[in-house]
Amino acid sequence: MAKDKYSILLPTYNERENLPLIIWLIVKYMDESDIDFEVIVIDDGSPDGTLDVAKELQKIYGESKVVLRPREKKLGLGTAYIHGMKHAKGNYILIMDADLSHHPKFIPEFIAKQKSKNYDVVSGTRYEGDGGVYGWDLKRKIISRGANFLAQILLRPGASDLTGSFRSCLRRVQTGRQRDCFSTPRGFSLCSLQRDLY
Amino acid sequence: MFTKLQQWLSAIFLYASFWLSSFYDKLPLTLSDPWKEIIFASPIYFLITFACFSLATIGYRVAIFNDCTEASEELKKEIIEAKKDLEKKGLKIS
Repeated sequence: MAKDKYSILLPTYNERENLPLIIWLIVKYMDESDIDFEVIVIDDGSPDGTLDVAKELQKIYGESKVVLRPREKKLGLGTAYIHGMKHAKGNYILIMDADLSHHPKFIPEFIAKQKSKNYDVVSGTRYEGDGGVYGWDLKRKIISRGANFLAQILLRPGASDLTGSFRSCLRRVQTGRQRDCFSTPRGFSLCSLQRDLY
Repeated sequence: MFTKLQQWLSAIFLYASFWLSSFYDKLPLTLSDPWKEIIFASPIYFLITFACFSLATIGYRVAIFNDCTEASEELKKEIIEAKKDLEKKGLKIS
């Protein structure tokens, strides 16, 4: 059997400061665990020149590791994922934020979790276990917990974090659902997770 | 399979019809007055119970919301390391 390959989708908008850092961290932790991967940067025409930085990074890490799939203008997070998936070469897809709110050191844990019971989808969460937030004030925490509580009661989704976007899944799961996901970020998050679970 | 919306609507419909038929004395049961009063006030009881439960749950969860201060410190160190290494590799961030 061929070795697994992970396509990490990184949608960016004005992330010229963070993009080198997140890619450096991804490379560090993936190499440490000897995981085959590619990073797909989907830049939505950032005015701050994120794409130029991405090109520099491509020179450093190689075109097979850093793949650029930019789009002309800001078209939204949901469609960015779909756009990235179309170009993904890996048999696994992993989505995460480029702004350093998701740490790549957890990717090997995602993979181990997926392998443990051959899960279709593995999702990170801010609400349980070691998950958490940084720099949130009380108001933001209350709103977040309140909205999450309501969603849990009304939808009983069986997943503790519906709007987070640190997830991995099998490629076939992602591609199968592309056609009927809406394109708003939260909508995509919610809808994709729901489809995965049922 | 029923959608969540259908499940909610059927539950609400069931409860509403039960409550209304008791209110208009259409239930095929002879209920004593205290029972009728309980049924009559039950929406309020549910509401209060739910409100208390929600407040307690959300309050507790806000209190135990993880602040990742250690993770943040660790990340700051890694960022410094990353910047040095990237500079060595020839990345120019103007």
